[in-house]
Amino acid sequence: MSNGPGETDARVLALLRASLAVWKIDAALATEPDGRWRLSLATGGHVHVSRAPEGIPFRWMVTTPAGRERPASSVTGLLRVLRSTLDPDWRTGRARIVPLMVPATIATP
Amino acid sequence: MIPVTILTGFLGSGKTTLLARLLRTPAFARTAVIINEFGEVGIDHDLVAAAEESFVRLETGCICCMVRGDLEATLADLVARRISGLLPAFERIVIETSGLADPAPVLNAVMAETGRGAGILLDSVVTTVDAVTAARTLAREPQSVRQVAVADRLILTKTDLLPGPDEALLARIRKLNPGAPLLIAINGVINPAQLLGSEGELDDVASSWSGAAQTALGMIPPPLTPPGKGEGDVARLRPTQAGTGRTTRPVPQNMPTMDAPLPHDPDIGCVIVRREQPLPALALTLFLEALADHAGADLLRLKGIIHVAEHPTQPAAIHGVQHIFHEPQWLPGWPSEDHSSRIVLIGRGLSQLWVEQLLDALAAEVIEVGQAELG
Repeated sequence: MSNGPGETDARVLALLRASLAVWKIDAALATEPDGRWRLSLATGGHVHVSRAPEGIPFRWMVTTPAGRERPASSVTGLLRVLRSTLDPDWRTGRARIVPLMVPATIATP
Repeated sequence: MIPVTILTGFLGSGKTTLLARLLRTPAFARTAVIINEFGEVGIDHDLVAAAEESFVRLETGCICCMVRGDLEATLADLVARRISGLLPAFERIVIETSGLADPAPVLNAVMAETGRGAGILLDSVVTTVDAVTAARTLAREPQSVRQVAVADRLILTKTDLLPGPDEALLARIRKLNPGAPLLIAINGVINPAQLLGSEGELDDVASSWSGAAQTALGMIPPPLTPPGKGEGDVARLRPTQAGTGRTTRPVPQNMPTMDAPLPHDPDIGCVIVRREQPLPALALTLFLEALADHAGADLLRLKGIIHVAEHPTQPAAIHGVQHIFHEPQWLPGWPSEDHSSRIVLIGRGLSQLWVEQLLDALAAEVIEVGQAELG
């Protein structure tokens, strides 16, 4: 399976649209000329989502209406940061997931 | 007469785990199994792995309100095929209901077939109770109350996840069903004799919760108060099985009659995701994290068989109940030719679109990162 940034971006954008609906947040989502995604909130203000700049250990960046930049290291982190930005009262679940440990591959002779 | 055991219990309470372990014991070796799952894609049958020829799935809906007729027909068909030699001479039938099922109509179906001379006999109703989540479940889910109330035997599961006995939970269970022996299973392990024996035999294996933690086996004896005395909200509703001499079990007085199944919460739905492409292990972990973050308490149950890209020869089984996600387990091998990943989520207000897009976005991201690292 091969995949490039364009494929990921398309899927993440679709996920963000679905997430806004699930979270019941009234906002319009559009792509700006520089490639960033802009969420225009019905209550006023904008939130931007973009790829994190090269050279930092993050993949996504959320810019709050106040201009503060909040990084995320995965799509899961992006959703967490974005939702807490849009809804300050929201709290993440308390469950923490243990990474799946893949058994060592048995070497074939 | 072929004894029929009804195995019930709320979503994620350990029915399938218990059944899978029991079927590996000699006492349950010659058992026909009927499994009813909520949703269009069944997984439990793959997790149980019983003999295929004596294994029946009822996937068309919840057993209590949509397929009772199917259940009766299935029971009759099983017995007929056994008599004609088309099936092995099984000695017992176990019906595992869906976690959302009201057990009363299932009892009715079995007893209806008994009345028709089908050659079966209701042996017992076994209800699994999740020691970690049951207090909340019993408070929120009427079906779970009824599942406890009609039990002949109650199996408390996951006690090993608690530091000690939850006295409030035990009192609640005892109030709902003062007469049923309360057994303890740890990691799905229980002595089959405790499920098959008479209640008199069960009295001999009493031990405390803490004792069970050491022995992986035990029973909490019923309180000294006789059933029906000192329990203001208890009445005997379950009918006596004609001709069997069976006693009735008390269930709360304020419950609907047995012929009227409790309605399911209309907001509870099932999301099913199937993917033919193997999933990267990291994407699976991130997927579960996001579900825990955003679905929260609305996620009643999650289960799945995952084709992990890094380890294609063995599927990983995932389980989650409300806010508790169990460590994924590697199955010894693929139980069928179907090597797709299948995930079933049951909960309130879950969005099929959101779950699918979440999984796809995470898989795309992890694959992209992996390819970037390879250069």
